[in-house]
Amino acid sequence: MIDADSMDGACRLEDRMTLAEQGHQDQSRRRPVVLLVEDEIMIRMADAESLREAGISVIEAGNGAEGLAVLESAAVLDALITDINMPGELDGLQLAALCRDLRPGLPILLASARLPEAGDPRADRMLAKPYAFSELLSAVKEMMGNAWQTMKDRRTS
Amino acid sequence: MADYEGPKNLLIADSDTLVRHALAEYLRHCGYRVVEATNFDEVISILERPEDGVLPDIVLCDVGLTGGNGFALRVWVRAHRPEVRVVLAGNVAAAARAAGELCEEGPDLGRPYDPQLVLDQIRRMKAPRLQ
Repeated sequence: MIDADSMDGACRLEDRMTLAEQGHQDQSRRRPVVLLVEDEIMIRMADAESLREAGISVIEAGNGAEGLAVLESAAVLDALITDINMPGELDGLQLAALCRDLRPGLPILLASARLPEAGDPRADRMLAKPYAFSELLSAVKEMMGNAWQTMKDRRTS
Repeated sequence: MADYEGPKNLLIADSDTLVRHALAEYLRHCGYRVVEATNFDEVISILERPEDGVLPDIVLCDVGLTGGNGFALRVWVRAHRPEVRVVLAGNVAAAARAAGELCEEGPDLGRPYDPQLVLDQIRRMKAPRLQ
């Protein structure tokens, strides 16, 4: 582990990093962290970059298995955004179900060009593709609710 | 920063999500614009059709990248995008060292850097999660 006394300059730099995964006690001062699971590289790149510009730390995963590895890890997460239709053994609906078990209470946004008409109990929000980035950001903020506002307030105070 | 003329855009290609994320976040804080690729095909997509027409200056690539290894990628880049520099890393520690060197030569000069920070961060994230 990092020895805070012996790494003065480096720790200052670390303070400016995500803080998402660093085990800091004051978690409320860190940026919100979203796991974005999307197999379309151009969509994932654009969404990730826009979310980062909005002050969110984004962990990018290219398929359901990669997303699951992050859910199973110690990485701090505040929300999951996942595409539904992805190649591989794990689609977005299955990933959402596993997320409910692994990380109860973690807000989940499901996105797809073909959303289930009846909705899905695993999702806190659903977003039809193609969507505007403003819709995505609004949905993320809404489902994070008070947690978003608290982080925003404390980071700017 | 204003008169910096070195590399600004990086592509990090690593099939391990948490390793890639830690390296990418670190290099963003060193002043780079960083895009991420999870496998060989994604790297080719990005290099063939770069976002906003801006090619990455450097690709930092794990040798064991899924879908075609780092050596194959270097061959492809030399043939199709010779202006792009490829830095290969054989393991996480080598990738962290390479990231450290990129940070030192990067847009935000003068930042203190210790590659161990990235390794520690990766180790923390990969630790079994406390329930």
